[in-house]
Amino acid sequence: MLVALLAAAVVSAIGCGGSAHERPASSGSPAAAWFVDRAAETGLRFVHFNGMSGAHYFPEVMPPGVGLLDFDNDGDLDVYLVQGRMLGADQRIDQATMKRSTPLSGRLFRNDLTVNANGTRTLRFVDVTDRSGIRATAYGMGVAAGDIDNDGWIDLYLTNFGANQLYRNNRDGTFTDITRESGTSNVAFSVSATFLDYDRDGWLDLYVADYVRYTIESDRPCTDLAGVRGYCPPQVYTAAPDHLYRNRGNGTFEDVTNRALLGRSFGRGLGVVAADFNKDGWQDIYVANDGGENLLWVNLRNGTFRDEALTAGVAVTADGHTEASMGVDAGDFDNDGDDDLVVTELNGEGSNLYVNDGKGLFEDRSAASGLGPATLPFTGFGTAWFDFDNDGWLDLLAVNGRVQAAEGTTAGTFPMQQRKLLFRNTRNGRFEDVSQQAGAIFEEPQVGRGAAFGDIDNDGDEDVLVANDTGPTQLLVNTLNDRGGAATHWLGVRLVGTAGRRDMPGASVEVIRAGAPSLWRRVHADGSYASASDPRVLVGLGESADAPRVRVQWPDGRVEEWKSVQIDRWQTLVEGTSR
Amino acid sequence: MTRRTRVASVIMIVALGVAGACGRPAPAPAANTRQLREVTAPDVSKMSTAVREQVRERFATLNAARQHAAGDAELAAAYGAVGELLLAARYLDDAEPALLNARELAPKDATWPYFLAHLYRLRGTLDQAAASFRDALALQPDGVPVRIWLASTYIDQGRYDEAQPLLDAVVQRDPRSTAALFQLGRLALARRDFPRAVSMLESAARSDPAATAVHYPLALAYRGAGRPAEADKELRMRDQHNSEVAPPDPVMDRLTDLLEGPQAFEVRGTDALNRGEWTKAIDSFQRGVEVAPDNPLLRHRLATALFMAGNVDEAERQFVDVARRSPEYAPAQYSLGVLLESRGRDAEAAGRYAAAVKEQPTYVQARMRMAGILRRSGRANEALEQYEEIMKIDPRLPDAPIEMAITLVRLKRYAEARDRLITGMNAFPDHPGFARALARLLAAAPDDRVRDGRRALALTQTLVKADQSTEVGETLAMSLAETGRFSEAAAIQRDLIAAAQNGGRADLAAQLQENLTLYENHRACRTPWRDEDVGDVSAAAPDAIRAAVAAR
Repeated sequence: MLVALLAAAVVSAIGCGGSAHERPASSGSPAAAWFVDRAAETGLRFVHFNGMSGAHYFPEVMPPGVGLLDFDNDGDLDVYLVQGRMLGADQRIDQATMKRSTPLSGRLFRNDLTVNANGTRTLRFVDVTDRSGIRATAYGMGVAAGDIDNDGWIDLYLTNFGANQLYRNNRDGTFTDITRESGTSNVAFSVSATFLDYDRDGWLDLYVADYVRYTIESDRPCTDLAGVRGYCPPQVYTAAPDHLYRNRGNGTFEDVTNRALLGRSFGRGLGVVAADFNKDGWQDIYVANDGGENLLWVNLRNGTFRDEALTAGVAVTADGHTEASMGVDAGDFDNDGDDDLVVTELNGEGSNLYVNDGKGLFEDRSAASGLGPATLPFTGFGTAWFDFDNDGWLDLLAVNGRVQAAEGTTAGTFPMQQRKLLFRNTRNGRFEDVSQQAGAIFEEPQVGRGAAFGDIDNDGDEDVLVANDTGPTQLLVNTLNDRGGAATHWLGVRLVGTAGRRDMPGASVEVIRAGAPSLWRRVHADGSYASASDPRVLVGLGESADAPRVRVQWPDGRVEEWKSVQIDRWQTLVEGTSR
Repeated sequence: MTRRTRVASVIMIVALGVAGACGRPAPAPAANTRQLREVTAPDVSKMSTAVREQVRERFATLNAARQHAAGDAELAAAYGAVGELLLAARYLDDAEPALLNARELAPKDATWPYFLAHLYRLRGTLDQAAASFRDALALQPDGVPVRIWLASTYIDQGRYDEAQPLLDAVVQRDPRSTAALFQLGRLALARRDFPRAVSMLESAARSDPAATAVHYPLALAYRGAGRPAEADKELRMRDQHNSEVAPPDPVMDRLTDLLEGPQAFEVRGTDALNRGEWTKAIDSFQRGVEVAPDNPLLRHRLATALFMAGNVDEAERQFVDVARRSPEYAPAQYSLGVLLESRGRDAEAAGRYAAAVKEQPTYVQARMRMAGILRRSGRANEALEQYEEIMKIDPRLPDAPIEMAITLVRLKRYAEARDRLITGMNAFPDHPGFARALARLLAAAPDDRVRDGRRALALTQTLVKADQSTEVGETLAMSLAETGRFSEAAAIQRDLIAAAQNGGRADLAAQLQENLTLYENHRACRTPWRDEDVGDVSAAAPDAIRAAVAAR
């Protein structure tokens, strides 16, 4: 039975500013730092505004997501930043607890990356929102990116507290709002969304995770056990149904939720990721539900899905407990050829690691991997599998930030800050917390929410774009390839389809190495929390300089192999052109 | 201490409390106390009155003990009292120094390291939690809860070898210790020793059949051991309240019962309600109402607990009271409606459901029950409107389309009813309700164009493999009669009547007699549903009232 109290999150741990009892030592000079925040110096000056006014409206603690996408097709990743606004019709801007310092609309930043003669890279972001046609003035939650019309130009889906928005890329630096005609408005409290071709018809469909049935008018006052007012736990509000939209191929979508998602109630959806978990060649969908059983929609290959989370072992923890479940990612962290799941949780719960047996049955190895205990003091949101050191093994980063002020904490207007975590894969099913070595940015507490992952400067290592609730955007640039030391090599491929040369989410890549086991990665822009990541695939090869073979299984099931693919550079593999 | 100095102390504590959040130090300790950690009161200004008074009182006692240079034992008790209250309120940063001081002053008292261990568990710093549990265990070597909690912490940390001997020692003394058996099961599961996990968890389940938290891990153990059918069975019985399997723990029980604010009473009462401990639930909610008389949620839950305890008259009085005081509180209107309906007072119940829907238009449960009353009272078209609205609000609710189909039958719209049920079967393939309803309609619909005895029989023969209820039995009889197999139909109907009589259901037996007469006269049934067939309002009332607690 669920209780409308902050005490429902009764295992809240004091974590203001991270674990005050395990604060890491400084990692030394910026030159030695693995990640450096370059947001301000590159022009990404943006502070999120959540509209809080002391009323503790429920949506205030949830945003924002963030997006990495190449909207102008110049080969580098641009940025979309989600913004909030005042909540409640009668709330005025002067009632805001925090002053706003950036415009109250979502912002599009163009990446004007230059590669200098000496090989160094200069990042520069320019705010091009005003002429982009994007008018995102709703209470923004997140962003998903996908090419809905197969013209090779990325389109944007913005999730909001309120009506969502679908923007079609006009291929000239501008976008057109086609929400109404597309049929994807979905007036609700939406958080994460993913584009996937679930029916293999060549068109990207859309799954939207909706959170709770909530209006400002239905907002409830909640307190902690001592009676102090705070934010409500999600169980106070009824779960809102998710939506699956099938792309008709003509700029419109059909809501196929009721006939495609068979017979299961929805939860309070926060994170969503699409992957082929049972390796039958069809995309499945995993939804992280807040305070309820997660969903694993297994594709039945006939236009419908069935939820098998419980039998697969990914609905709840090994103890049978439902947990908060915010951020999520799928990836082959143990290099055994199948996608495993990581889910970030509330402080006191610990992130969950579900290891796939190759057939879509999972085992909770959160404790055994070390991830569970290490993340217990933190409330995790955006997260992803990424190989930050290019050793061929997927590591993990999580951005953290509480959803309640720690009981007894009244200092500060939004005292939810926690530090980020970086875990290195030790290649034996375990992870090592290397946050201390990663850079000063990992010591700086923020209310972390969205995180998008990608090679922003195209130098062959993955960077991270972080969005913080009421905080500044942070651009964590990976310095792996700038630091010298033992050289690591990498494979960077963009997989595009024949029709329109669009990115192909759902394609899987096997990197076949001489004298070493294969590595598997998948093309995707989804996962994390309310964010869109780089759809290109970057695979660390460690110290091996041998050019691997690359075998691609396209979303429609066809397989192609490239016999020799150059390493240490980005390249595009086009469907049907293998050699 | 005189009253005046006590009041002055309280005022000082309050003043300190206001500044407490900024970490200003307490007054300097008396000369003969040790150098202990600073302990400051949290900001009490926004707390509920009752908790604020508790905090002030304990700090007053602490301050007095410090002022008059109390001995270690008294000081430890005072610090400990402050620490445990703040721990109960989950004010972990404030509680920690107080408990550390208590531990330092009374190093032989296991209570303080034990509370500290739980504090660290809540904070998520498991190394510290384990260290404190070890300290407590060293002081209380025979302590069972501490041993089990330490083992559980080790399991959470992946320290399986250290957990094992702790649990073995408990089970050696008490082979039926459910908590220890459960933890041994968790340990085996973590080690992927599935047969052992099955053994331990089965033992835990036998030791305490009410420990519902055992079912899910046991399902995983069966799955790992290659026993999928048993795994599925356990999954269906899994706990859905995040229950724990904890050892009897009077020390932690004392902590749980410490806070006297309305929120704490609500949490305790709701936990008791979930565990089926009606008396405890009533007591907690009653105390909550005493400190927060205007809180409709507490009153509603008190009424719910009274109903569950069988005190229906008093429950009705309480529901009426909360509905009168807080007419906008939709769950109370709904619960009162359910109670009235269970007592046969449909008209009054309908009014309450309407009130609930007026306050909360998306209250689908209230709409469902209102629709049922409308259908039974001959207002089938109005019932249909409610079902349509429910399906718009929540298309994933299977009950609405099923009952809508039955209502369509009432309006003689048999083809529409059939089509609704077929659509429902496709949308909810795992929900047998649609197949059950469709089979009955196909067996007994008065419309020849809709009736299909063969298909009805095929459906029912599949259903009966998993469901030998009277409802499905009756449908089987109807299907057999429709396909001309009257003697078989009659035989089944006689069995159903006998079972009803043996079960003390003379009323049901009488209802079933009607169709038996038809079959004995070689006539098929043409009444798919009697009114009584659709939901036993009285039987469903406890679940409905209990479920209303989850609604806000």
